[in-house]
Amino acid sequence: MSQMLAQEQAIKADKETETSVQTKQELEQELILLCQQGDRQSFRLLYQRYQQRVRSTLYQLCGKSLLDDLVQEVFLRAWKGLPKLKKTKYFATWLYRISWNVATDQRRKLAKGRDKTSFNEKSWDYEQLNQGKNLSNIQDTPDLMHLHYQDLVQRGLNNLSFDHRAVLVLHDLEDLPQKQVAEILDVPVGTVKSRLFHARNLFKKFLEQQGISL
Amino acid sequence: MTKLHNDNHQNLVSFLRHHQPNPPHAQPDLEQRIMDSLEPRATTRGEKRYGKSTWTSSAMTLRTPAKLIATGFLFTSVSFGIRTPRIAVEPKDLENFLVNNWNDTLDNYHYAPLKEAEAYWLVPNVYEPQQALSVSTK
Repeated sequence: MSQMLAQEQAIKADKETETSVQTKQELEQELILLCQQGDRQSFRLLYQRYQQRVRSTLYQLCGKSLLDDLVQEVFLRAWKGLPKLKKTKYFATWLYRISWNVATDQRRKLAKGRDKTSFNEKSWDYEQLNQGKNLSNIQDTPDLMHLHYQDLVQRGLNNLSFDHRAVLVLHDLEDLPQKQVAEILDVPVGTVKSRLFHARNLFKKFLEQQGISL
Repeated sequence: MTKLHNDNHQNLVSFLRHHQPNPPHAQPDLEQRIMDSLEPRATTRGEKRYGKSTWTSSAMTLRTPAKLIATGFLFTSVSFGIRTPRIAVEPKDLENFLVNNWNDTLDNYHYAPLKEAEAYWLVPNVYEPQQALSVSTK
């Protein structure tokens, strides 16, 4: 009897979740359509909904420097390009694509400037570097261990090439399916798989060099 | 060496997700800065214009077939109305009319009058029975 009740409750919960997901999607579609007509308040809501994901992706790809400017650039491009977006259900993919383009442009700018610190190193904050050095000596406290591992992940990402890093960030950190990653990066799914395989292996090697075996 | 997990890539993925560095907080005014930097949507007015023109064109679309039908009807009725009096009531009258006119024309220029047999080809042979093209089995 109790099992039956539990099953019913589970089914109800599933239905409620499905309904809420549908409602969210419908709401988002509506917001996008309003934005396409020039409604700024709807765009503000879209920004609030997506800014964290955009920010996180850009941070993993480009680092801390100019992060606010890059986020701003992504949303300004989105606002400009929204009227041309035909399939509104692909808004998230489209926004990730813009983020990728902005990150790539930033990388090119830095390369043109022949900044000797390079893209990877520039994105690497000195405070974090020092923090990492200090943390390597204090691995006993759990919170500090977490900070240490965060530092390692950051350094490991910076150690990868831009293409490998992008795949790893979008697929493993942002939890996007391979097909969507392929659409964002405009490469075949096979290329995504291949890059992901190599990126993970390189990352594992880096971690092993830092004394961590997974 | 720290041994974290035994599995392959899945462990790496969970490790990455668990320890991914969090981006620094945005400046408090970033949202407003972005909102203020939004370009005025030039297409908003354009859309309105487009909407108007769409309405106009749709109205035209609605009106055009009606116009076409009306024009077609008018043309048909007028052409039929004009043609109807031209149809000879009797083929003989038409034959006479043609022959006389032809003769008059020639007479004006002092040509020799046509014989009835020569002018006969001008008249449609309405009453002549048509020859059967297919071979009868009878």
